[in-house]
Amino acid sequence: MRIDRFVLDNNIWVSYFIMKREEQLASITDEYGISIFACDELFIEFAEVLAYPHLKKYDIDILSALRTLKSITIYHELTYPIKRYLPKDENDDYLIALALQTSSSFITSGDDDILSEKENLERKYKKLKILTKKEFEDMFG
Amino acid sequence: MEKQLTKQQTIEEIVKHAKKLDKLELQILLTRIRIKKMLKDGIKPAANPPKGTKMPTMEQINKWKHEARNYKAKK
Repeated sequence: MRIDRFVLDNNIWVSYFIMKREEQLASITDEYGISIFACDELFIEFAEVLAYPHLKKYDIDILSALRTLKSITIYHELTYPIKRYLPKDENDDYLIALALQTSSSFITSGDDDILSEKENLERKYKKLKILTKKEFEDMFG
Repeated sequence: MEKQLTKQQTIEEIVKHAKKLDKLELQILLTRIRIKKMLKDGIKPAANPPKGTKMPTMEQINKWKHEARNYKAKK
């Protein structure tokens, strides 16, 4: 596991883009030398969430957002099959698999289905830490 | 005293080191270089909400993430 490797859930990515703070995230990766991993499953879901009608009021250029997301992340092609890690939502299992397959030490999420499994996941995968967005940002002052 | 490298020599040094990296290390290096360039050029925000638009909470965004999945499944 590498302490400079991260995986971010789509709710985190979407929040940075909606709040026009993608540059801040890019600055964090640059200044602290961290690597954020992503996969096709994450890119597809990211575009789907941004296209969801409730987000129309934020007038997001989806192609531009996707281009930025792809530019600041390191692509990893997930290896299947993916195990069940989250009893409450199998749709998020790919995030855990992405972190484990890329030896990432941190997953940042705002999803209760993931955060509620923090203790179990951290017990099972000793070097994996599950962070909230605030904990993630606190790491970088 | 350290010898000053020309631009061409610097590039050759970088290429020499890059060739020693494995695929992932090279990917990480290229991403870092790309991000540095993006930050130098400036990153234009993808969102352009009208002034006064209320920013959603993390709970709302997460709810939309789940709803978007169902929305797609129903389509």
